[in-house]
Amino acid sequence: MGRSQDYIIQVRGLSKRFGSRSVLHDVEFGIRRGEFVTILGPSGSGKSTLLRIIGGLEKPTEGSIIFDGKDITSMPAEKRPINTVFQHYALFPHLNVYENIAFGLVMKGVDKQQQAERIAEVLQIVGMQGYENYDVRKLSGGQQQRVAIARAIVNKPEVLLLDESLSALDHKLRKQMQRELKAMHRQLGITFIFVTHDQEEAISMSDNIVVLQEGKVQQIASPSEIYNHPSNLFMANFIGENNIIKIQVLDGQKIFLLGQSVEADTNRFMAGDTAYAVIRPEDVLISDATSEEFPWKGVVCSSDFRGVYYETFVQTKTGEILQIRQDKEYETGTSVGIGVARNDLYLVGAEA
Amino acid sequence: MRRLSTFVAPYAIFMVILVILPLVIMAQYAVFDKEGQFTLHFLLSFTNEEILNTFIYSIGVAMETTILCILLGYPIAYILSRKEMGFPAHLITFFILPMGVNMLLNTFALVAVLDVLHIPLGTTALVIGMVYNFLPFMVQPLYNSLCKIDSNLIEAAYDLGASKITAFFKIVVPVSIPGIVSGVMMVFMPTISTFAISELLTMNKVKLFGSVVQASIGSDMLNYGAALSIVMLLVVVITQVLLKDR
Ligand SMILES: Nc1ncnc2c1ncn2[C@@H]1O[C@H](COP(=O)(O)OP(=O)(O)O)[C@@H](O)[C@H]1O
Ligand SMILES: [Mg+2]
Repeated sequence: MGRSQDYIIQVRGLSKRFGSRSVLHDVEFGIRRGEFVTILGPSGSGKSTLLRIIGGLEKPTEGSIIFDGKDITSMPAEKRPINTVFQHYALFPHLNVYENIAFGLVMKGVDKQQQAERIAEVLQIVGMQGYENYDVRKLSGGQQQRVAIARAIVNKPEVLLLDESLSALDHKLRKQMQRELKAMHRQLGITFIFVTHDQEEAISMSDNIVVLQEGKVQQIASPSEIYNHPSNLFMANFIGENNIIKIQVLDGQKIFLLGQSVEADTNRFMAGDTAYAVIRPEDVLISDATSEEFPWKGVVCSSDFRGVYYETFVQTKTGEILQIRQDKEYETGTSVGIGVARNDLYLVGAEA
Repeated sequence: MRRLSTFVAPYAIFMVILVILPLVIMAQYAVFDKEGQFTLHFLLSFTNEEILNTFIYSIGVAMETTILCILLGYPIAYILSRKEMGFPAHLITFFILPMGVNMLLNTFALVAVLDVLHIPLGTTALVIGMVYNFLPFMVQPLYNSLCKIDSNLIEAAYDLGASKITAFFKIVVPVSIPGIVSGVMMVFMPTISTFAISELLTMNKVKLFGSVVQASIGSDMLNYGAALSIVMLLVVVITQVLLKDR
């Protein structure tokens, strides 16, 4: 985990049960100051619960939350230097835009003059100048979103929590808000913890991603690391489209893959282990002829143009179907040779 | 449009026969004497000191009842509306159930209860009886309006630094104002015109405005009763107008 003072937030051994239902299970990770971290996971995986525990709206059953080296597990939400942008915005319907944003400042006893200055500043950041007196119920989803962000950041929190903030927006607006959120993150320099179920969103926005599934952390890594080196079978299935093939680990940096013994990096495994080879469609080599480079033989099932490449499916002699992306078309029914470079063979175990 | 008006017709007939016509007849009684002479005598008799005092006293009892109903009903409705507090949802039925029982029966029952508790009949008993009868009418709209408040709204207030009490008064109460308004309408307006409850619980010692109207109609002073009813109706209309834009 590195030295603890590197982290603004540390989640330690966190578990949460609602009655007999276990929602988070021994969750542990750290977030560095100023990072944009995304908690990624399918719906129901416990993302909101985790975020609510960090924000102080929910108490963990076990474990603790460390903020800047101090244990804040029992500190109530209103005392934490953390603010939340709620999933459905949760704007106060009886207050206008200005009053909504002012709420946190009023609670802190900031004087009127300073309130006005800070509100003007955040309205500028979220691009909502001139909307001060609008009824929040009459704003569009995107505008409500901006007000919700403004209401949170006006308090100058050290950590901003965003729960599926963009999920309700249409595709185009969503892309735009992604860029704007990134820009706000750079401008404010504070830590963002962003929750989403959308991989693409997580990969395009984050410095680091925490992947959650059924309340368990599956992997914590940078987007490229997650993409290139999934930690386990779940991650290999979850991220991107990969060929995943069950293999046996052999002695001496070799594996038994699709009926052949080939070289691979087996350092994390022992001879005799069962593991899975993860091969990206674009890393599968295909050739009309067979040679040493193409140890497997197969028959083309289909080959379709996909804009920038051909997507070809080949059935191997062992019966597996491989998905292949190359810039050449192959006729259905032809026999081909298949190969994978040693470095493009990535192995994962069933568990992390 | 034609179709729609067909549907509206029965309601229009209903309105004319059961609402507008009685109002016209009542107004007629209020401004004509037995010989058919136009007169403002009956309406002006409202300024008679005794009547005026009864009227003011009745408004006072209605306000007292309404305020007590809010003070008692709001916490009940709030606690039961917050699912996270973990009370069974159907508990609310117990508070609303008395609405389904005739008020006279409720009041008879209360007389027995007051007797057991050694609380004498009189003005205190009257207020207890009014609150007892009208509390469900306050709890029901309050509960409905509080249930609609997303708990995220309250949590957002905590998140922004509000304590539990501040969040309650700055968010919950203002957002539930429509519920408070309907509760007030359901309690304040009918309490002005009650008479049976006051008769039973004060042994006819305390006269409310509704009792005076009832008494005058009962003793063949129809014109007088009609005039007082008009005044009462005005109060109700004014309350309604004042509350409507909330
Ligand atoms: N207050 C609660 N009581 C009982 N179960 C809850 C509560 N909050 C969440 N859950 C359950 O915990 C699981 C995870 O929920 P949540 O954290 O909202 O997941 P996500 O945000 O990833 O969709 C869900 O199955 C949900 O039903
Ligand atoms: Mg969620």
